[in-house]
Parts: sequence; structure tokens; C-alpha cells
Amino acid sequence: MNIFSRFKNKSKSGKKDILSILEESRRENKKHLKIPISEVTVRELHAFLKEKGLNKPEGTEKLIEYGLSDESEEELEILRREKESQMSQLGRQYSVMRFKTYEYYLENKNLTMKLRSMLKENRSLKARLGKVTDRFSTVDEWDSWSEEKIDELLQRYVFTK
Amino acid sequence: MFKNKKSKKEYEVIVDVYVDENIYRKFISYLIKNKTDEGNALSKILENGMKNYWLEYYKELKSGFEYIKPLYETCKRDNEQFKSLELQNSILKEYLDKNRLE
Repeated sequence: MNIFSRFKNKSKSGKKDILSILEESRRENKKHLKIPISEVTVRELHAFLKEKGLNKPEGTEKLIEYGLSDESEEELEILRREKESQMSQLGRQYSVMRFKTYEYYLENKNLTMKLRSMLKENRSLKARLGKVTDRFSTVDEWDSWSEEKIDELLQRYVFTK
Repeated sequence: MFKNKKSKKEYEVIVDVYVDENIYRKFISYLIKNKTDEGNALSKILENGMKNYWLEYYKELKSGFEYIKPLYETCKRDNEQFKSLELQNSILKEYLDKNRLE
């Protein structure tokens, strides 16, 4: 018995399983195409999707999107030359950037939740220090952070939709 | 998703797929522009998609990169400021505690 077969349809209780819900939400607001085409093309399509590691519904949709792209031969040639020289570097940079952005995002989310108390502590420490010495007197960007700025950061990292 | 169907002319397979509305609209425009039937059009479109796969993939990668770059820079800048604030607090606190300054 296939390990996923129990997830395929409705569960015993009659409620929809998670895979059906995900598939339904993927299909929401989409148009249905049901078109007969030659078996030769379908065989090529299956081999292509398998080679690229793409699944059938999403891979086919992607190829239709790509196939409908309306660049001229000239534009494609420019893109081809650009791709030859930049694809691998851009691919690496993009992967690193995506990973780092996500990492920063999670860290910033935690730090933003502590931001009010960090600012309060900073202002109090600077006031205490200002009474006894001017050795560490600095003007920092966060000195001017208002409630508005804190709200902006909370919207960016904590209350994201 | 794919069902076999015998036709008079040749063996055909039904492609059953869901596409975004903008892709559907482009598909209809393609049919009108090329005055062709759905089957021929879809075959040509899929062949074209396979032929230009890496170019279109590269184009998507480029737009993904352009989208994420400012997000990355904003997150990085905010992170550096939060960390500097945190570090300054610990330095000031340590100095005040060490020198027993009230």
C-alpha cells in the first residue's frame, strides 16, 4: 500500500484531508483546460518534466506559461547571451540572498518584539552615563526612533500578513 | 491528469490542467491570433515552453532577484541596527556596573 494513499481522498470521518485542501486551494481562481493533444507531445512532455524534476500539474502549467511568452527572436537571443554569462552566478547569489533574508527576518522578528524595552534601557543607560561622564556620548540613529518607527518595524516583522 | 483517447486521426491524450487567469487569457489570444484549434495550439505552446525552458527560467530568476534584493538590504540594515543597539546596551551596562556609577 502506497504510504500516501490514505491521504488521497476523504478521511474516514468524511472530512477533507490536507492534500485535497492544498490541491483545491491551488486550483482556486484558476481556469480549467482539458484539451486532447498528440501522444507524441505528451510523451515528450512527461520525459521533460521527469528530467527537470517537475511535478505534472505545476510543471505543465509552468511550461504553458513559458510557451506563451511573447519575446521576439531578437529578445530571446539577447536573453540567451546574458544567460550564458550570468546564470550560474545569479543563481548562487539568489539562493544565498533568499536564505539570508529569511534568516534576518526571523532574527529581526524576535528583536523587534524586544525593541521597546531595548530602547527604554538604552535611553536610561545614556541618561545615567550622561550624569557622570561625557566619555561615551554618542548620537545614534535609534535615539530618534519614535512610536511611529517602532510601529513601522512591528508591521514589517511581527504583524506581517 | 492525462487520459488516453483514440481519435480518428491519431492516438491522442487529454491534457487536464489548471492555469492562472492571465495565462488562460493569453491562451485565448493565441488561438485567435493563430487561427488554430486548441489541441494544435497547446502542442505548439508546450513545445515552445520546453525549447525555451532555461531562458524563461533565467528570466524568472532575474525578476526574483530584483524582487528580493531590496528586501534583503532592508532586513540586513535593520538587523545591523538592532545588533548595534543590543551591543551598546551591554557595553554601557558593563561600564556603569564596573565603575559602580549610578
